[in-house]
Amino acid sequence: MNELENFDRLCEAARNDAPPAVDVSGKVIEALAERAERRNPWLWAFAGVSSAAALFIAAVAIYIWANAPMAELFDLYVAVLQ
Amino acid sequence: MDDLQDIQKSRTGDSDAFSRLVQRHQNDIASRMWRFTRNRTELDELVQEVFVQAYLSLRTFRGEAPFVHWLNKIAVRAGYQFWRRQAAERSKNEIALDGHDLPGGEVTPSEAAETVHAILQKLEPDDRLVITLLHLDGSSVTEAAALTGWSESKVKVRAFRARNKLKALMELEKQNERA
Repeated sequence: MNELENFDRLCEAARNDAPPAVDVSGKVIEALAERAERRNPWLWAFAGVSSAAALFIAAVAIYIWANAPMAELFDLYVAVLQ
Repeated sequence: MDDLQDIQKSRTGDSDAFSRLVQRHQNDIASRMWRFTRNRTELDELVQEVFVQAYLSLRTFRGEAPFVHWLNKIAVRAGYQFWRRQAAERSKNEIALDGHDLPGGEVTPSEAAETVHAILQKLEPDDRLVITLLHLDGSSVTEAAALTGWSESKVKVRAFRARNKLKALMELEKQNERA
């Protein structure tokens, strides 16, 4: 029997080799949850940037309102209505 | 609850449904991955990796073939990538057939698998994959082509070359033993 024939015979015998029992369902779900959590920091960062932008716009709006740059325009409008 | 129902539910984020899919198919995938490693810890990691990859590409499953066929393709790709990483990490010279000479008499399936695994470690991942699928698993050329995504002619050519390399390798080992 040459080496390749011997190898083929071994392959045939190896087909019946059973793997050890595995139970990875819990680990798979954990791994997927971890991946989802790893994505969350980006969502939090995005939410943070959005909130900062909203606060800035609100601050600018309050500043403009407090200084009333268009107050005269509104006064005129109120006068017309009266 | 069958595979298709669980796949639909998994796509909507139902982790219980995906857990059922894992439990239903993990032994089939473990059998497949046992060809790629003989290490228990690596086996667990590989099976886990297959199901994580499957979940992430679940949208691409069209249901034209059984779910387990689709999983097996992912498994073969994961195993092949695992071998490529291993091959990159260590040089061929580090791998020896010491203690894995071809046994001549009766061997147990486990001994045979150990020996075949040790011999195939000396081949490049592509050659190793084609020999594993065709000779160890007993897949047909068509099945091996479907699992690897290669054309049938590529499988045939690669198998022919791989067997020649294997033959040369084993003859060299034999000569070294005699010397």
